[in-house]
Amino acid sequence: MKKLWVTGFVLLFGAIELYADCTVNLKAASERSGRRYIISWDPVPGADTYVLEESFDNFRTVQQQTIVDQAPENLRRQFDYQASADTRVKYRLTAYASGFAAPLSPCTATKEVTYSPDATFRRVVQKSVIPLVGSTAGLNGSQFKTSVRLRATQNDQRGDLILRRVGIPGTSRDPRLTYSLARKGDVLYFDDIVAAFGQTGLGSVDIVPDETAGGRMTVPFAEVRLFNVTPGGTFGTTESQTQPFHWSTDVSLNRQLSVTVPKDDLRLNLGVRSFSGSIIVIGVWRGNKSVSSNVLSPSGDSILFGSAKDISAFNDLQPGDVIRFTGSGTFVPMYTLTDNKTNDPALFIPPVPIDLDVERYIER
Amino acid sequence: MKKTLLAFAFAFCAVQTYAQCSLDLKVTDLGQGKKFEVSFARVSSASGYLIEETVEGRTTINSFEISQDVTTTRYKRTFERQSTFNNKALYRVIGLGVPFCDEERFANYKLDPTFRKAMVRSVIPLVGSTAGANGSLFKTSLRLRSSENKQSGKLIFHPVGVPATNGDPFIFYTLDGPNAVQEWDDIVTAMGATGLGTIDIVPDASLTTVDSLQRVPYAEVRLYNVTPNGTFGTGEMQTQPFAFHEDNPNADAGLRVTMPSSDLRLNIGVRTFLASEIDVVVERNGAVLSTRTFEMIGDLLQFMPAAAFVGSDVQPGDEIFVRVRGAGVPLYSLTDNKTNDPALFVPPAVIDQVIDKYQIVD
Repeated sequence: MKKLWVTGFVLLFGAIELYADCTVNLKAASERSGRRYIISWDPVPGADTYVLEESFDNFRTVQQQTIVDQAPENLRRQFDYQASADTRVKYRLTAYASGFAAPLSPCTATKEVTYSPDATFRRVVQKSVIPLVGSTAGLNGSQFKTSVRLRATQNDQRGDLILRRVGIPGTSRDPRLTYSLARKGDVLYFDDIVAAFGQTGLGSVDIVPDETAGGRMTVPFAEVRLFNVTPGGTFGTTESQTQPFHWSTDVSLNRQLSVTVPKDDLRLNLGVRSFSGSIIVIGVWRGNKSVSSNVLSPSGDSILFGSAKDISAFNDLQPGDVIRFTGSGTFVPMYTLTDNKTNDPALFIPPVPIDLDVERYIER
Repeated sequence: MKKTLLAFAFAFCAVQTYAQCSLDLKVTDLGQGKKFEVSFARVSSASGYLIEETVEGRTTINSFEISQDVTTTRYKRTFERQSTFNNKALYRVIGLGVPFCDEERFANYKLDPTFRKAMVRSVIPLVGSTAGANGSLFKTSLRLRSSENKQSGKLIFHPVGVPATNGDPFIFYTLDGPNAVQEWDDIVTAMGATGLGTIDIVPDASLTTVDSLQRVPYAEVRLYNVTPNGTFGTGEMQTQPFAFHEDNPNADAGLRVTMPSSDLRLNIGVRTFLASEIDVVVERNGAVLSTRTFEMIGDLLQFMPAAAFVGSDVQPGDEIFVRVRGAGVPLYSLTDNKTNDPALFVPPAVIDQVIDKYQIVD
């Protein structure tokens, strides 16, 4: 009987220990003005494994980390995010004993934190961009220009259009126009957007929505055409608006761009529109051999555009050579192919889906 | 003695709590490895349940909460998937509020040959070779450049307005090393065809090899008119069907364009990959003017003047919306009526060079 009593007591004690002591003291400490959180917890008696889950959608989807190192200094994880708006994230810690075979639900704690927006990040990502625009006299009396049609995709869309001029680092004093579209479907049309700024030459246009517009940072839909006007008609190319967030090299989209140097009936120009300070490598390959690389380091809100020879800084470019853009930062690579007789341009920008709501982005 | 019995009773209760948590989790294949039923028994002491789905190759885990229902003895939830490759998913069911109450089982999802055939390719949505106005020649140049060491496959031309068949013109490509190039000044003529159409780039073994990654070469495409005074035209990017599959959460097979004034002409089209429904809406001053929905079979290109496409009269300034439900890419061209210079617009989607592993998770 005594043996039974002891066995019963051990079983009872063991069970109670698993239940009663299994309290997870999960802590969340904010640093860097709410842009970093340290998630930490006290050791749970009996636990040898922890699973930390992170969810942006109330645990509909989660990212998991398994922590088996029991050293107290390892019972923490640091999360750094750049957010453009307040972003709520939940963390759930579950302690396990004996691998994954221990009490589960009682041994769980959850913390919700709010990442604060980063003003610099907001300024970079909360806008739409037309990477290349131009207005200039062409050959033989032609006129090269860029038409932009802005169409409201919801009521009360207002903001600024800002022209970034080629070769000049962007500043807060860059030419600016305001736009205001009262009702969904309203249209604002610029036959020559660069001339509307009182400017000529090449550049890039930011579409920056007002923060108060309809409670969300949305931008109008832009239809853009770059074209030459001649007495015999027009010829040119279309262009899509895009958004800076998807051009960060920290975002896992495939935005690579490479181009083959054409024969001399066409001319190749290369360009880069940067949104933040970036390092861009223009590599030249001949067959499978690298023959040149040039490093560009534009500051934010700059546009560089010029002949392939100038941008690659390689004088021996030959038809068939392949030029590749790589680098780090946030930038759009692009190139144009232009017929040397007709001056008809074709513009290439790696395609990424268009966001018209540019309010909420988060980057790890 | 009393104490002994009491302790024993407590211990028994504790043990019984463990024993009561029998979820009896079952994962049952409901058909050809595409659809699985996850079922488990009710645990009376649980406050609810969580099903966690871990999909092979993904870092996120999908969670599904199920409330406790005293009238249910066995809970069931089905999971359906279309996949271009064989893969596993781990289902874990947790009885909330109950210690030791979780079980897990694998489901082996099988590749769907039809889905794989439709998705594992790259596509050039619009190509053409035809006599243009004033003695010009409209054609499409194509340069393929390898994206890995050695690549080979087939280019298949599907003429506009004609359902694709196994007899469609094709040509082989072979790229022997890094940066190897194969180019065609007029790809449509090279296939012995004329007119407008669309091209599939199908890497070798894409229908049988499921464990090695299938890559397609980089395609540099230019559609242009050749005139005595030079060329004018437009560039085009390759894309892939999965980028325009309606059940791909990252896809957006929508297009909007404003009807131009009479100096330009607007043509609109859709290249389908699977049977699809096409919604067309015309708005004037923000108000809906007309709507049209029609069906298209898979692997078909339709491309025509805007008025014919929308099925009603359209005026300059009208806004036209096209949305493909199924899998297909909408596109339009704007062409100057004097110079016949075309500009082509395809909704931008990130280009995949690796086109092997796609799946639709319900």
